[in-house]
This record gives sequence, structure tokens and C-alpha cells, in this order.
Amino acid sequence: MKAIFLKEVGENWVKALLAALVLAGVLGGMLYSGIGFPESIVSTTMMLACTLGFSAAGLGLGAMQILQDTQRGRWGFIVHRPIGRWPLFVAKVVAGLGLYLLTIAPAMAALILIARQMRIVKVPFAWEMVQPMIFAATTGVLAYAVGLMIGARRASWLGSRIFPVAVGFIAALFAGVATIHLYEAMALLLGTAALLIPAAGAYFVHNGEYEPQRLWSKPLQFLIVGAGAGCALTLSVGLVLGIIDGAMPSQPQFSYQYHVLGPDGEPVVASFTSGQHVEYFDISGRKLDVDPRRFHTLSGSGQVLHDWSGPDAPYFMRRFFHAFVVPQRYLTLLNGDRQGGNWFYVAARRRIEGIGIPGEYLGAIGPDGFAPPGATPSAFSAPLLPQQGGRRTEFMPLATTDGAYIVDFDRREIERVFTTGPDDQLISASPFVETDPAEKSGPDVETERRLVDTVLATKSRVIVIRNGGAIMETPLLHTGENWMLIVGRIAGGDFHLLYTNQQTNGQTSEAEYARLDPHGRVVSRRTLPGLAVTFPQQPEYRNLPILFVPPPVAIAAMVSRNVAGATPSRAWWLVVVAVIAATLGAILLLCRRYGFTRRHTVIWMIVAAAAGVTALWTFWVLHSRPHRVTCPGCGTLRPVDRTMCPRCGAPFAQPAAPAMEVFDSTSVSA
Amino acid sequence: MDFEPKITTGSTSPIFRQIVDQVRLAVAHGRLTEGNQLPSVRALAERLLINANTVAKAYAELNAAGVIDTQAGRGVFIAKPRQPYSAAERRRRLEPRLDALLTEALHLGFTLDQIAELLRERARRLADSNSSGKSS
Amino acid sequence: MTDAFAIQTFELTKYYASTCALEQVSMAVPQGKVTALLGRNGSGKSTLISLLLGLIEPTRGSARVLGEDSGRLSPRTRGRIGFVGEGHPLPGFMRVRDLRGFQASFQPRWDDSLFATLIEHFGLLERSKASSLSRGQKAGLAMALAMAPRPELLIMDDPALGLDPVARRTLLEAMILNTRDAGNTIFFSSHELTDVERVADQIAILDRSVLRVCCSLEMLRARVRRFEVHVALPREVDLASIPGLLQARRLPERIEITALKHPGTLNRLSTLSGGAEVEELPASLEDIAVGYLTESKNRVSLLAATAAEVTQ
Repeated sequence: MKAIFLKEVGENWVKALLAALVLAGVLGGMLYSGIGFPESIVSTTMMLACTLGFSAAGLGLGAMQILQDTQRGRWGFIVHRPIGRWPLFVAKVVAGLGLYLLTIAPAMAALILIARQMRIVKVPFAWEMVQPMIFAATTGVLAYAVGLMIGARRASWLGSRIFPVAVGFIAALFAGVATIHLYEAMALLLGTAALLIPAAGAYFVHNGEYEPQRLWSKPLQFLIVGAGAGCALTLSVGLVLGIIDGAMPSQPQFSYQYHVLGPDGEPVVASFTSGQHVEYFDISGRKLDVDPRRFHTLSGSGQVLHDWSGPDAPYFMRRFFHAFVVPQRYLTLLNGDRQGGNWFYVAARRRIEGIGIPGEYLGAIGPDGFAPPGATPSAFSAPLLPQQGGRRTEFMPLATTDGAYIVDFDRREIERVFTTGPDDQLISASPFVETDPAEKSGPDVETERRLVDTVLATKSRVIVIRNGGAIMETPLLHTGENWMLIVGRIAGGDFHLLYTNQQTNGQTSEAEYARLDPHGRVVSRRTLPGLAVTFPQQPEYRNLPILFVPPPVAIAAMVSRNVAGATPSRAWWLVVVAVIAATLGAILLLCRRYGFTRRHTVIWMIVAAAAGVTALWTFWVLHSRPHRVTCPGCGTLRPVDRTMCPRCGAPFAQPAAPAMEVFDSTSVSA
Repeated sequence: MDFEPKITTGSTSPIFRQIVDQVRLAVAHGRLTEGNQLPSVRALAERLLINANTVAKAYAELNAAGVIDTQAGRGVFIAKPRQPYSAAERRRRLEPRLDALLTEALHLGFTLDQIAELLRERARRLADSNSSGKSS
Repeated sequence: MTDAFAIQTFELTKYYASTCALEQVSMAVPQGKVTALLGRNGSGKSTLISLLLGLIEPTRGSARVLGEDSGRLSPRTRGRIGFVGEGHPLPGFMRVRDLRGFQASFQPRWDDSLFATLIEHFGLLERSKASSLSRGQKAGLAMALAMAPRPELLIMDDPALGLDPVARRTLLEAMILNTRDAGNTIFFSSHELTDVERVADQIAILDRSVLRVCCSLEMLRARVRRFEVHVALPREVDLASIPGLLQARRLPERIEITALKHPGTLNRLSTLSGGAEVEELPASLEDIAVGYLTESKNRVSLLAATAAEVTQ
């Protein structure tokens, strides 16, 4: 094993070193010169570049290591020695992982060195900032496993050789967007690699062939190759739909109605139609001629009245808020980072700490205030909420589940303005923008916006804060998954509260409007007429994907009439059932043609029933087609890889002998 | 004794036959005499670059014909000339070849005297070539 | 019982997609003998050897090598088998001494002095890189690497391919050296009939994926004869009806026939030639090999065909 290890290192270290220099040069150069705008080593650009670069290195190395030794001739030299093929493969992988580390280490070192020079990257370096690079390096390990698989699997159809990329891509994507902690991402990436490496090994020890493999590796191969087939199928169907879409003269227009607060604070109906401006109507349906920019005088968008970031929320939704909402709202990022909890937080650190003039470091913020440059501020006592954005020099609302703060960047101060208990946690906080209607004339309405207040929502109350104190408090009327709240106020007058519950196709969006005087007393309150949501009927060809999804999904979609395109007509049932039947029939036919045993056939029928056309394609990609010849016994075609004819049990005839064979009596008797 | 048969590959005569013939010829013409040692099977095989089994086979045939004598542990020696066959047997073995020769020769129009003369001349020449080969 | 054979195959068959590379080959290679595998390019020799070493999977049938199924050779058994691949594939970046260390680390019976002797014999330097060696040197290195573990069975895929006469001679010496231990078996494929004639006890002939011959060289020579008919026969005369015909070659004044020795052969020939003189001669190994491997059994010599045109 040691000899194989040394051979692998000896054969590839020069290539690894060259790759290392290229990686270090390109990535370091990017960071040093700012090409591609990587603001720091934790920027998304840098993380993406590292992930791509490391993955390319890993994939190339893995594929190369296998292909070097499976070439005709070399295979015999390597494999024919007193060592099992598994130990040989393991030694290769161990050497490969070492070489991979050798490849990426200089790049990582270069990036860290550059990041530590404050003159180049104007963010103080902290070791937590290496976390995105560790993510990228781990993705590269997965890519290495994918490379092994690509190298080891001999494919009859050339394009299918790269199918294992799909598994790697899906896992990396999930790890990148759908995990909260770095260890979760690493577990996902390494776990997938741990599936791919034995699968690649099973291919390697069987010289790239699927049929002779043991029972344990075959389902793995099916999953890996099947994922590739599924992705390829999805892309193909999408491409076909795109081509049809392009060829169609006109697409039906999508239109959607929702409630907003109008310029005078009263609710109006906005109607969005694809490709056109938004139009506004009053509640009775009369068209209004207003400048939509006037609406910005009220609090811009609605507050989500459901706590998706809390521990009660489903994992993926929580992740969604952390990945897509939280990093874009810089003030929310301070906490998790300092507690070392959320690795993705670090990715946005540049934006946390570099608020203000680009490149000017303001410091990290904790509940006790700004920390000096490079120092660690104290951590918030409770998780931060997803926040609504604001401008850099304005007072910012910053909220945790147990309280709210106002941050003054100019004076570098933080002030706690609201505290609540665990029974009534905060679920939302946003800035409140107000403009005097008298100033709203003229073309440049945008400049007149002014942030004055903070609107907070707990599980039971709505509170408006000004200058460190609550100026209005009213019970929260609606809370739940789709409920949103828009709060408006014009020139210190009444408060306008609009609760909306926006729905999807086939349902009705509800809304309730309440007008409160400046002290929070209800002036008027009414339930608005619901808005029926009906998406336009799509052309039926848009249902094409239903034929390629797994049959259980297709049937469920048909039964629930919940499909992406048009509600399928009855004829679709026929087509869907026909495609499922054809798939099963094709699998049955293939199994018989390939001479499978009954048990083997039954397993494949079940797989086909569960996975549909993807299973069919995977079957085709996995197996090499056995040649068939005419059986000397029954005259039908039989696969050449069976000793006995599956139909009549006859053996194969001896090759036609022109009666001039010479054999020793010994060899004949043997 | 550095007797070494010369072998020709690609001929119609098998290599073991070539060795047997050359040893017999050398004995017949006195180039090898009783007590002369021949190389061992392996040594001859390695010298001629041929399979040892081939040499072993040739030696086995020579042994059976009484041309050589293999003494375990000592080596291979030219045996004391002896006739393993009775006079009648010897005649019986030679006669078919004589018949073939005569048939062919008479068919080609040679007289018996001419044939006898040719045989004598041929034997002389063989002896000459062997002695010249020996001296070189 | 199986001990008598180093290699046995049972209806061994290999298809590459729809191409049959080896069809129902059942053969036995006796232990302690040198067996040469003859065949034209593409006749399945390399496929057979790859199958014997378990480098590829058979389509059907099986093979036993040193008593073990060739598809599942244990590392121990592999240690007893030496292998020289076609074209002597070696990792080009390795130096001779690296390869020695590499190979020796796996082989329990590695004989370093034998390796050193062989290396010197082939004129190789310890520090030479495998990629910088000439064909002959490469062959020597591959041979040395395969022989130094003292294999009981040495399998070589066309080791003489592309070698000059000197290198071939050296290779031959190495092969004979390997037979010093009487129990050692060699199985090799070759196109060099003179080498084969020198070292082989047994001959196997593969003709377009079918095994035609597997017997001792001696038996083959006894069975296959050459017949010369001193008459120019018209083309219409069907020579294919000659029992055991391997090849018939029509020259302007005579016909050369290579055929199995068969009681009816001479009669049939004199009948066909209208009582003309028929000579029976022993066949050289080349005659036999060409006879087996010629595709057209009844062909007019190219020389005869063109000579006829010239005279016209």
C-alpha cells in the first residue's frame, strides 16, 4: 500500500504543484487586485471562486488518478500483483487526498496572507473568516470523489460518463444554501463523498463494469447515475419547453392583485400584469391615477408576521431566512458570527463591519456598542431577527427576539429601546419612513423620505418606537405563515395598519384594514373584500414534465389537480397512464432482453414504478447491452453472456470446426 | 570436448531431431568417441538457446539407441559402441530406406553400379566435411 | 489432478459489444512446459491473456490458473504468476530503481540479485527513467520485473513485439533462464516463429477467436504435412474437398498443400490431379502456422497470378 501511495504521489505531485500555483495565483490575484470585486476572503465572490477552483482541482485529480491506471496495459501492470484491488484503491485515494491538500494549501495560505494585510483588504482578519474557504475545500473533496467515479465508471454512452457530477453539484448546492452551520455543510459534503468513494471503488475493482459488482454497490451506482440521468432529463425537458415557448406566438399574461396602502393611507388594490406597469384601483374597483412612488411615503413593504427564523420553524425555512434574508441585512449578522454559530454569517462580514464608506472599517457591533477595530464585541443575548434594510447613516432598527436596539453609526452608539419577555417574543422589526405630504410635490419624491420610527411586532402587539420610547401600541390582529403587516403614517397623523394574507392560485387573499389615531385608539376597522387569485390558464403543453416525473408524483399531481401548467384535461390521464405503462413495459422488455433473473426483473419493475422514465434511462446507462445470437437449440435470439439459453436451456454450440483441429489427448480430457 | 550441434530453425526437421542426427553423425565419423563428455541437458539448452525439454528428448532418444550413456551425477558420455538390435532387426530397419532409395534411383535411370559409386562418393564427402569442420 | 495444468479454460468466451474476441476456448497448459500462443493480430491472444489474469471479465465460461478461478485470483496466487503486458507498459515517470523498489515491496519471493543480473544483462542503468528506455530495454525491464519474484507461471503477451534481433535473443535467454526451475511454466504469445520453435514445448493457435490447436509441437509436426502436386490444375478443381485441408497454394507449375495427415489425403489428391505425382513432405513450423492462419484456404499465389498476366 505504501508503494502505491508513493507511486501516486511520485506520478502526480508535479501536476498537483502546477495546479496549486495556478490556483494560488488566480485566487490570490483576484483578492489582491480586486478583479471580480471580491471585497474580502469572506465575500460571496471569493467563496464561489474558491469553491469552483478547488472543485476543478479535486475533480481533475480524481479522474486523472483512475484514468492513468485503467488505460489498457497499465491496468495489468498495476493490478496484477500480490495485493487486493481494494487496498490498492484505498492507497490511491489516500494519496489523492494528500495531493489535493497539497494543491489547495498554497492558495489558502496566499489568501490568508493577503487578508491579513489591512492595507489591501480593509477588514481585520479573524480566523473565523477561513470558514468559507473550509467549505470550498470540503466541496473540493466531494469533487475529488466525483472525479474518481467519473474515471472509474466506463460508460457506453459518452455523455453519461459525467453523470456523477449531478450528485456532487446537488450536494454542494444544498450544503451552500440549505445548511445553517459549517459542520452541517461539511457533514453533507463529506457524507456524499463517503457514498461516492466506495461506489467509485466498486467500479474500479471491477474494471469499470457494472454487471459483475456486488449487491451492496449496485443501489449506490443506481442512485449516483440516476441523479445524473434525472438532471439530464430535467434539463432536456426544460430545453424542449423553452423551444416550444419561443415558437408559440404569444404567452398568456400573468396578473396578480394585492392590497397596499394608497397615498392617503387608505387601502387600494394593486394589479400587477406581466410585462406592464402596475395599475391601482380603489376598493370598489375604480381605476386610480396615482404615481406609485407616492406609496413609499408609508412603510415600504410588509412585515412578515411569522417567525421563520426561530427554532420552531422548519429547518429549511429557517435556513432560507439565514441564507437569503439575514446576510442581506447587515445588522443581523453580528451575533451568530461572534458566537461562532453560523458559518455563513462570516461570508457577509465585510458588509457587517464595513458599513459606511466602502473600505472604511467601522467595527463590529454587540449589545454594548462598537468594538474597537479587530476586537470582538460582546454577543447579543438572543438570536437576531431578519431585518428590514435601511441607509448607512440612518438610525437602524436592530432586534433580537427579546428586544430592540437603535444604532447610530455616526456617533458609534447603540441603545436598547425595547425589551420583551420570552412569552411575547419579537417576530419582526422594521424602519418606519415618513414624509410630509406637503413636500411631496415635484419630481424628486425619493429624496424626501425620512426614517423616523421603528415598527416592532411581537406575537401579540404592534409597537411604534420613537426616540427610545413607545409612542403607539396596539394588539396584533393576525399572525401566521402568510400574514404580512404594512404600517403607514402621514405627517404625524393617524396610523394606517393593513394586514394582508396573500394566497396562491385558486385561493382568495384576505385583508383587514385598521385606522388608529396617534395614541393607538382604533378609529375604524374593516375587513376588505377578498381578492380571488386565479393564474391564467397555461397552454397544456406546459404539462409535459408530468410525463417524466416519477409516476407516484405524476399521479398525485393529477389527482390533486395541482400541476405547474394548465389543469390537465382528461386526455392527459390517458397519456400519463400510457407513459407509465410504456416505461414499465420497456423495463420488462429490457430485463428479458438482457436475460435477467425473475428477482432482478421484479426489483427493476419496482424501481421503474417509483422513478419512471429516469429509471428507464438509468437502466440503459448502467448496463452494457449484451449481444444476442441465435440459439442453436430453439432458434430465438439469446444473450451471449448466459451459459444456458434462458428459453430452451441449450448450451452454446462449439465453434464451427472444419475438422482440422489438433489437441492433445490430455487437454481434451481436461 | 566442445562438441556443439548446429541447429537451424524454420526447417522441416525438428530441433531435437537435428541434435540426434548430428550426434549420431559425429559418432559415426569418429569426431566423438567413447568416453567423450557431452554438455548437460541444461548447459546445451542454454548454449543453443533452446528449450531444455528438447535437449532432454534428444538425449533420451540417443540413450535409447545406445549412442550415449547418462550417468547420474557425473554427466553425459558417448557410450561404448554397441548394437541394441539384432542383425535381423538392423536389416529390417534399413531395408525400407534402401527400397525407397533404389526405387527412386532406378526410376531416375541410374544403374546399380552407378548407385553404389554415388553412395561411396557421398560417404567420402561426408567424412571430409566432418574432418574439415573439426579442424576449423 | 488439476495440478498437472498451470492453466485450464472452460468454454471461455469474450464479446466486446457485438464483436466476439474469443469463442468457447477450452484449453489446458501443462505445468512445467513452455507454451506458445500463435495467432494473427486481433485473433484474441491478448484477450485470452487478459482473461487468464482476471484483468477483464469473461462474457461466459471460466478459467483456472494455478488452481484458482481467474476472476478471483487471491493476492497469494498473483504472487506466483509473473506477467509481461503487451508493449511492456510501465509507468514512464519511474526510474529503474523506483520500479525495483515498487515491485519488490509487493513480492514476498523477490530475488534482488536476479533482478540486478537481468538489469545488467539488458544493459539498463538504475537511474534511467522508464520513459527514456528503448523498446528492447523496456522489454528487458518488464521481463526483469516479472522474473525477479521467481514466478511459477510466467505469462507474456507478445514480449518480442517490435524488438530488434539482438534484443529478441536476449529475451530468449531470459525465458530459458526462467525454465531452469523445472516446475516453472511459461505461457506466451508471439509472432516470432523461430523463437517459438526454440523454446516452446506446446503450441496453441488461435484463429479468429477460435482455438484450433493446443498440443505439443512434436505432435503438431507429426500431424500436419505438406503435399506437393507437380501439375497445374485448372481453377475449377475444388481443392476444398481435401480432408483436413489447411491451405492450398497454387503456383504456376505446382500446387502446395498444407493439410492434416489423413489416410484419405493422398488418394484424394491423386484423384483430383488425375494421377499426377504427389509428394508428401514434413512441414516446417512456419508452414503449419501459415496454414492455420490463412483465411483463404484455396488461394492462387499472388506471384502466380501476376506471372500469368505478364506472360500474356
